[in-house]
Amino acid sequence: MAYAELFCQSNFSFLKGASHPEELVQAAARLGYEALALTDECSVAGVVRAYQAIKQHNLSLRLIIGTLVVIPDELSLLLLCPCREAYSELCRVISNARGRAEKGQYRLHPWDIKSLRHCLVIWLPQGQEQVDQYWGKWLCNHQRARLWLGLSRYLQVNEQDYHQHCLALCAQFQLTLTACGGVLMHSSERLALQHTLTAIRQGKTVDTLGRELLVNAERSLRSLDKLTRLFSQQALLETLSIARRCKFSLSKLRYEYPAELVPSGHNATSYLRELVEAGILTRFGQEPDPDIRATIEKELALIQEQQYEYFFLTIHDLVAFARAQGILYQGRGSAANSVVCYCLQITAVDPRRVDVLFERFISKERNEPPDIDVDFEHQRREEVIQYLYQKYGRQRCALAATVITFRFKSALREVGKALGFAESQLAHWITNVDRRDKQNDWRAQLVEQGVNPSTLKGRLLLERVDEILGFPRHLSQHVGGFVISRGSLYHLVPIENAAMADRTIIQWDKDDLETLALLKVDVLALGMLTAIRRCFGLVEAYSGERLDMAEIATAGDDPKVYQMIQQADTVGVFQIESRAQMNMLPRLRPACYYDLVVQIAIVRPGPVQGDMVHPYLKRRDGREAVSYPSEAVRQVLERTLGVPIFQEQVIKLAMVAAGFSGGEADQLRRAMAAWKRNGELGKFRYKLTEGMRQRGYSEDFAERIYRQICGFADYGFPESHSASFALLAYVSAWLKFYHPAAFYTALLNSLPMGFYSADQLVQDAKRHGLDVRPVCVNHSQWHSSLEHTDSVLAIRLGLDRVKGLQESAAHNILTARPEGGYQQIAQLQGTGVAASQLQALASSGAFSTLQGNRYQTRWALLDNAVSLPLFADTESSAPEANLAAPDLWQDMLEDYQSTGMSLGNHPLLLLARQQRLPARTLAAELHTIRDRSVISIVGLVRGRQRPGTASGVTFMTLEDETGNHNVVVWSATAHQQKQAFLSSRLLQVKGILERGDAGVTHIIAGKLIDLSDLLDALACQSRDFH
Amino acid sequence: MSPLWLYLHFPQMQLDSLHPPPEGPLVILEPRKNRVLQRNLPAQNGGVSLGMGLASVAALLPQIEVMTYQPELEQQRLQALAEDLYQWCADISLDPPSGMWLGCHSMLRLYGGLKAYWQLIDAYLHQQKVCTHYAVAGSPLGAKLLAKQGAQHLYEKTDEWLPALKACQLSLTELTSAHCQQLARLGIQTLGPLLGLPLKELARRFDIQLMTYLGRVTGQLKHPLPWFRPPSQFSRSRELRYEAETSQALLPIIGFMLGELEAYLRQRNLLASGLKITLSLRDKKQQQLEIAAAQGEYQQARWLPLVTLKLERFQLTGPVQYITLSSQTERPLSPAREDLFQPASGTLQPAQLVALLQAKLGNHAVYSVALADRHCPEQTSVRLVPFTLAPQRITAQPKRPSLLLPRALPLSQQVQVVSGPERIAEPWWQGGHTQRDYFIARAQDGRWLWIYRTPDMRWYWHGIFC
Repeated sequence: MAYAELFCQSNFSFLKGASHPEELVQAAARLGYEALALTDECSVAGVVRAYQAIKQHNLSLRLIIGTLVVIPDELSLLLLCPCREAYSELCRVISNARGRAEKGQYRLHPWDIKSLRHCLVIWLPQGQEQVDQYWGKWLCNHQRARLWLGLSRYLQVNEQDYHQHCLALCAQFQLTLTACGGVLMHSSERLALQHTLTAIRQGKTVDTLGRELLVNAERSLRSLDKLTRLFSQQALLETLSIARRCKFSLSKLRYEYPAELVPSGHNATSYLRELVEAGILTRFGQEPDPDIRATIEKELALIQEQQYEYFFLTIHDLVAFARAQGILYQGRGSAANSVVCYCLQITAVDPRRVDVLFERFISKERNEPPDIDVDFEHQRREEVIQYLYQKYGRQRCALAATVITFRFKSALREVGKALGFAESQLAHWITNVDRRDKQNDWRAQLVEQGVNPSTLKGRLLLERVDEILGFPRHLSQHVGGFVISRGSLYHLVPIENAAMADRTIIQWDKDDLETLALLKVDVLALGMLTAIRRCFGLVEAYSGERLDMAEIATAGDDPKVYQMIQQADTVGVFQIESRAQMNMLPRLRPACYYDLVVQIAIVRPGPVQGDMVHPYLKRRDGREAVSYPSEAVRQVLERTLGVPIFQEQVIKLAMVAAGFSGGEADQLRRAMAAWKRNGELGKFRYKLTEGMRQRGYSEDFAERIYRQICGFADYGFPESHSASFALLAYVSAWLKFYHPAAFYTALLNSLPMGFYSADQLVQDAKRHGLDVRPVCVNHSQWHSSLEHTDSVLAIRLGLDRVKGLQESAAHNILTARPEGGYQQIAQLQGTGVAASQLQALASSGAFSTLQGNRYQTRWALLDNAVSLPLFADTESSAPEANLAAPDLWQDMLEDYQSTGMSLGNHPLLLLARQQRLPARTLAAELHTIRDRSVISIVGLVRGRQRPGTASGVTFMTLEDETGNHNVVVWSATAHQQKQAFLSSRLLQVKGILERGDAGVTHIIAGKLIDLSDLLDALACQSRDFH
Repeated sequence: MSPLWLYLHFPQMQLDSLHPPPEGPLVILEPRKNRVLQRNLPAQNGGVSLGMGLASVAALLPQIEVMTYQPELEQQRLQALAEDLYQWCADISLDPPSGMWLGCHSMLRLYGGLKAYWQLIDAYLHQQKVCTHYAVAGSPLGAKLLAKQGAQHLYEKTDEWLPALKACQLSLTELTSAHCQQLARLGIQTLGPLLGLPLKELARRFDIQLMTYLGRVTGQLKHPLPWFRPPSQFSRSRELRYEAETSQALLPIIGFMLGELEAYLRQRNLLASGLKITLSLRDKKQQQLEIAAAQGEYQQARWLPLVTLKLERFQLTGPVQYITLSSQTERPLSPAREDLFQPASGTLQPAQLVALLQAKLGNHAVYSVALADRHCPEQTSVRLVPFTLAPQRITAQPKRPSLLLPRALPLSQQVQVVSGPERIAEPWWQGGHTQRDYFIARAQDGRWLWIYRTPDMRWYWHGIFC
């Protein structure tokens, strides 16, 4: 007895299907089905996951690709793919239907069905005589040869009549009947979840949906026994006959690269060779050293063998465009740190300075396309994207999708609403559950909050939320992953509309693309690249000097720059500006490029969690002996003093020390990457430790390596990334040292980016002795700019700092600005700029050179009689209103509200003058306090950083008028004083000062006192939890 | 006589109206942003302040009781207070949801001065246990502002209340938040500086609403207020010549009073939809009887049977000395349309019949039935208040029995299954676990039964077909 299920929807029929594709295939295999067709509604978004699950668990189930398409109340059809051509047709139909409608919807047109030549069509009649007669005739006219009638049985009230109706249709139109399950869930236990999904979709509660809900759980995968009793033998056999015709499998999908990249007279290989040779001259100036030439030849040979020439040509074309447009970019990723890429100018990491790990480049065993991400200036990334769309056309180029799933907050809110809980109650629970709390998971926390699992409603809530976590909600566009193909994309995968106008996405996400070995080009955005380019521009503007990233990098390691880095004076410097980094810099003391590479990789949750930092430090300082258990290990770990820091080292260790094959090591890498999703690292533990033990390594060593791997999982940094980032870190540090005014100005103009807000950057600039001048209607440009008076550079804040001021209004003001500047407010009113814009400008204090205080200015601005030129001369001598001037506090508050910073007095200074602060120690005085003393500090909360270490410690940055405090809050303290910890803006901390090695000072928090109400309307923002 | 206005502001009306008063901490929240609007003393002592968010409150006092703000409750209470205060003041104007004006200039001579007058009102409010902020000033809006500012003072003269007004916060005035923000940006937070600015300059910069407000609050512009009118009520009391021991003995006198009611209602062309009979007993206790009629009635002949029926089941706890009859909810008479040519059907209208039945059997025993949109058969009929329409129009399910048993009975006879199965899952959100397979079967005696089977193979019958 065998059966093939031809009508099955997964949860990728959003808010309708109640099971994951993986669950469906596993359940179908368990029930002994021969085949399963995954027919989500106008979508193939779930098929790759089903495909992967079958491969991974070695199931004997065959997967058929298909889809369900519906014209509401008229026609329902299943389209199945017997062959590759049918698959292309299917994708085309889906793309057309989706293209006609807005995001998330589709509109089927009869023409789509008419045009099918290969797909198998199963008709699911509506049950109404007129409609079915019409469509029966129509389908017979156009798709006779590959048409069946699908009968479903759900044990509903009118089924016998429907059954008779279908039989009559079969007789009338001479169709063959086949059995269909209409599956929406893999087990009847999911009925409750399916109802909940319906409720969420309709926006109602479950008990008001009435008969819109499924009446029973028959729409699940049923046992063969049951199916035999429900359907005739013939109908069941027909499913097999259809299924056996479907021989198409996803493994047949082959990627085809765009062909126009190769000019005539060349083939891909020869063209690539030509470009590489040209690149060698550009980069090396001459024939490179023999070992580098050998590497180049090895790489080119591998590229040719694996037929990846087009991939590199595509990227080369892209970066050439960027170069031509003057857009800064940086390539990174496993393939990026190859010499070939260096020659093609895709990366700027000189292979002579970094030990390029060849195995990570393209692994033969991996059988995967190489992986290159290219970062572009974030403010100009759109130009690059438009270039891709223009060059390849919308049919051939689309973004990868991201599947937006139910996370805890949305799950609790939606499920709670569907079950009838009050929204305020749900909002309360959501804010009070801390997802990062490692001791109590969300269930325990909810119970603590009052959700009672012994009541029906409480239990239902917990159960449904648990089930729905991870369920897809809708597709969204990926950050920058583009898929580009030779022919139309829909031969490969359907395209649909994304939310952004003029953006289309494919229905698969990046994991699906990786599973199917399809090519993706990541076009990403990096704020620091924008900042660097702007800085270069500013430097050239005032000094004529033209700077270049590669030049700065190859000029060698400047000791003065490294000295600045070692002193942790790195606010604004790429990757090494966070608090955690700044704490590490005085200890690690990087002195050369490779030290920076290590620095960036080491201060991340992975190595810290995996217990790597201290051994490295100790060995570097010579306090611990460097030893290697074997020669093989020494080769892998030598450059990091025997401590595995990079992800590749871990993989290499697995191969070298535990005997993993290339393929197995790759599986380990994937498991590490997918750790968050399915936590499957445990499987490798035995193999690792056993393998190492067999090769003579100590158990202790094996355990340590395993723990380090667990720590790495999904946080560990590949060396290639680190190398690329270290380059940018060095360049930005160099710019900060040699051209500080330009550097800060460029950063201000590239926000949002980086770790610090504009306010903090300005404060750092001031602490470096730079003059920062406020926004002024007579001196500022739109962007922040440099002003020089007798070869001293000052930073002038730009009009873009003013909240509420639009660029168009600013532009008008700037163009109308007379030579000597504006003299009177009335002139500004005459420019035609809207009153609200002038008010915004007044709030920022930009008129202070014209009018004195803000209140007077606004009073003058409000006068609408003056705005018309006709009245300009009359009655301008109105009596001035007697308005009191704002005090310092008011001024400062408005500064913050309007520009986010105050160049005048720091709020704490003002509060202190008003005697409103308790006794405290200033940040500048900390060095005078003895280690281990009890101390009390007050500061504005500027950042909360919680690296994912097991101990649950949070680093807080508190700012006072003289600098920053580093506060360490242990989880117990945070837990007990949750209120003050989570939401205060001005905090008093009583604790103990701890001075570590290298003079890094922390304050271990004991008591947290929230002083936020002293701030009233201060618009200070804290950067939380990164 | 210069006008004097007393404004009463009830900042926590809903809280004060809770019955019984809460013992532990309690807050009333504004529903959209979950901010505290009202709090009681234990909550205040626990650190809860007005405007605090729900999360903060919960962090401070996890056991706190939380209610949503319902302005309708406050309005009802306001109405009741106004009705009571009407006995001391003729010029009342309501300012929903929680404030009112009393025009007291005309009352002062009667009550002997402002202070004495206020003592009377204060005593009443105290007895009502409602927290009040009050102030007296020469303009209605001025009094309101001072009361909200927390003045708690009776200003009789212009040179007293005008200066006090100047110190009031702009956020408490009737000015929109946009105005207040604009003024704040000019450094003006209180009314004083605003009044100090030259009017012409102000008029050039602000709109008419602000100018009107300024005029009204200082008393320069007139401010007409809509007056409160208490609902009219019929109330008559009669002392009995001899104590009545049984309820039957009360009937004649009630009948007489109903006649008076009929005359009162007929004169005003009103209908009463409810009556309240208060029986005062010998030992100073009281008993009350309420009779409702769905359709309003005015005729004694219609009320008497209802009252009789009600009294039949009513137990007196002591001899009655005094009866008070009062009517409730009066509304104008609109005669039911009657076609002269239609044949007369009974003398009773449907609504009157229902009222009679409800009086006899109790309100809960008389109801209408409608179809509900449910799968589960027991839940497809719902009970409604008589004559109300069902919320939705539902089409009936096919193949449903004409008669559904209130509870399914175990099947104990041989039947022949004709059609089915129809599988219906019990609603899981109500705690149901299983499913039922329904069949239509023919019993041996020829009846068509609707039977079902549970997963553990037990059979029940649930309904009969015609």
